Amino acid sequence: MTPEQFSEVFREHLPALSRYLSRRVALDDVEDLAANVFEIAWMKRAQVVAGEELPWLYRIAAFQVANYRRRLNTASSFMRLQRSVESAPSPEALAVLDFDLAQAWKALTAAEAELLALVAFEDLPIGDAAKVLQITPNAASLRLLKARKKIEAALAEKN
Amino acid sequence: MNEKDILGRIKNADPATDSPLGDDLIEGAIASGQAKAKAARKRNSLFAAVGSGALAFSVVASLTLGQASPTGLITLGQQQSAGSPMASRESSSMSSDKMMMINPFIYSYVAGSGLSSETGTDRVYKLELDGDPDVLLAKLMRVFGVSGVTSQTIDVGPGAEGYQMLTAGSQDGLSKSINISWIGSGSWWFYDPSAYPQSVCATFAKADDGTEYCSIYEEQKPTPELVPSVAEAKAEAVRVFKTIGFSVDAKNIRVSSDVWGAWASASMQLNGEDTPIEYSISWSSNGRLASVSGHSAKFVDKGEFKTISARDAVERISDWRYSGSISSSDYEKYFPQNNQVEPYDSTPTTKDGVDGDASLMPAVEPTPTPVTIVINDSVKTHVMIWDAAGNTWLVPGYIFIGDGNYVSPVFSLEEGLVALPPKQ
Repeated sequence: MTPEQFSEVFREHLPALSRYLSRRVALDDVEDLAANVFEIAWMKRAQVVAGEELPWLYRIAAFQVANYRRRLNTASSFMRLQRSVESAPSPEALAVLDFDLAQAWKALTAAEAELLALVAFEDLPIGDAAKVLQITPNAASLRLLKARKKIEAALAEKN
Repeated sequence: MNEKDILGRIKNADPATDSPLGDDLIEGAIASGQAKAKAARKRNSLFAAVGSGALAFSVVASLTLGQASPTGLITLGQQQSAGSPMASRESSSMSSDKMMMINPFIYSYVAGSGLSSETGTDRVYKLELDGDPDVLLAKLMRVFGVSGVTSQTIDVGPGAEGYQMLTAGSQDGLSKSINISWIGSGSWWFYDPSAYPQSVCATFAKADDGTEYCSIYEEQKPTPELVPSVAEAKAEAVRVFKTIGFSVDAKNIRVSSDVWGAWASASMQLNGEDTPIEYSISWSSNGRLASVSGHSAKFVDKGEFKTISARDAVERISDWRYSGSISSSDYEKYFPQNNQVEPYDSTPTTKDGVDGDASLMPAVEPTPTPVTIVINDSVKTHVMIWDAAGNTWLVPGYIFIGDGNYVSPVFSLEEGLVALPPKQ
């Protein structure tokens, strides 16, 4: 893939990637992380499967977000390390628009939150979300159902 | 609530912000990637031509006292300040779009009369990865009884050369897993979520599609009799740490516990002093081993460098780019009042008690109150910082004591030795 071809293929995903990152990191850092994502994508362009560019970008971005959060925390603190490997939007990010939902979001595991975010926010079909998370579509479906039930239960309890 | 309602509600809470990125960002990324690939090819050919010994000599030669390399000894990235979470809390230069981090105070720092104007020199250490990540992973799997197929090694790419994340065990977050982050200090962590008491369903309900789910879980009761005592936690921590290759005296292990579990940690030491690089271990409320974390790195002495005085370093406190992390023992010693943990109250306070009341959001951004903190004393130490490539460094720095407040520690290397990121 030439630089021109790469730019042609990936340009259309700029807005989606921008929104993906803005859900997960401080606005000031979106551009830097996006640049990192595209740099890695360029270097690894031989690995991308045609038609799966966006899930592939999200997967690279998830690592970038995890690294970003890891550096934001004290590397020596275990609890923060645990938290830092997550890449899903935080409950605090959702709280601005829906406080109850943000509270319910806390009931999710990191993996469930990431999957739900990919489906609800990034609007990915379950098959593509599974590719981002490198799990099978079946596992993704089950995880999504579990996440939805948890959210429902937490919201019901709140009400 | 049906699936569409739930997803709709989540979509409505989308925290995304439109942050248009220019097309030139992709061209820039390609150019940067090409440059790095070229540099890597050049470096590899250099290794092949002269061998690593000759290269090592050239690095050491450039790091003798007071001779900064043209590009600086260390190049920091944008996230350097994060080494000290308190630093970001105290920073007065938050951008306006970080609304949730509005600080009601603007701090300024003044050097008190007791601060020294004496400059000096001190040593700089870099943490370098020690060992082989695959061997480490196999060892940790053996020690913690983690089974299952080791997942593929993830090389994040040339943007983080040599950075590998290795994982083993459960990938669904339900049982034991191990992660190794092969960069910086080579941090690794073992986690066993199944060590925690499992939730028992009290009431089941049916979704619209007929699927049964748990709507109310039974309240979990603490079992303090199962939580390890301080002495037990120390003894077990010594044993586990030793098994994984980290020898530490029980007296150097910090333990905290409550009815929901126990936590212990110990610092890697450098020249007999604690560093911010820590190993940790925790037990769940039923006394089972829940987590262990550690590192796979060694301190490498990078030479002696000039440092600025404590008096001159005071002006660095307000600039997040100079902040660094200190060891837990230093933190407890110099900022004991900050260790008081206040219970977290998740109840939103609104004027009429209604959740989600619009009055939660201030109509007018509050005007921060200026606060001047006089720095009365300082302590020389080594602070931990990360460079732009993810490497971990221990560099000379100061802990400042000011009016009983927590004051962000800063590094004290002379200007020019550390290439700072742009000040935002």
